[in-house]
Amino acid sequence: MGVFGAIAQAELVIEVTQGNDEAVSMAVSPFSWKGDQVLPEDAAAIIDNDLKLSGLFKALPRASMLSFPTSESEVYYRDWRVLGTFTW
Amino acid sequence: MEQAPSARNNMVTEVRINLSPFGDVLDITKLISSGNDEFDRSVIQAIRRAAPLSELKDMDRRVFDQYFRRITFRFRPEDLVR
Repeated sequence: MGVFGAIAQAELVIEVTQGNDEAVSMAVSPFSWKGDQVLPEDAAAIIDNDLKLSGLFKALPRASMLSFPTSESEVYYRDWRVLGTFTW
Repeated sequence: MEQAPSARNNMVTEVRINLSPFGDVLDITKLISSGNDEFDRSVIQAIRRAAPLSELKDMDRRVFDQYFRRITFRFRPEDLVR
């Protein structure tokens, strides 16, 4: 008489009961680079995506930005308040 | 995940996904519909946006095969103030 053992694939069930309706609006201005070589990555886009994936932030699309400040002295706050973003 | 505006508490959408060892979502099957198409779509969109689940590639292969190849997600919002 043989004995048979079966390893059933346990099915993982994940219940999601809460969402996130209140993502903070934010904008990541494209980084400026004053060196000679082209940067291999768009660092602003990577940060944008990472923050968005956390579920806590909602990014302003680059196409909607009215200006691209590269330092604090270049930030014209009215440009960002008009768009409803939170300025860091 | 943003809630669909017409979502109500105790709606249930259940989907089953198959994953590759690299965390790619290979397919999504809707098992139970909430009865609200917009909510169902938001569930599928949330799963697509979460992919790839790249942490899975560092997992022990046997653990992956036994527990993570196929996952059922049951979306049942409890936090809606409506």
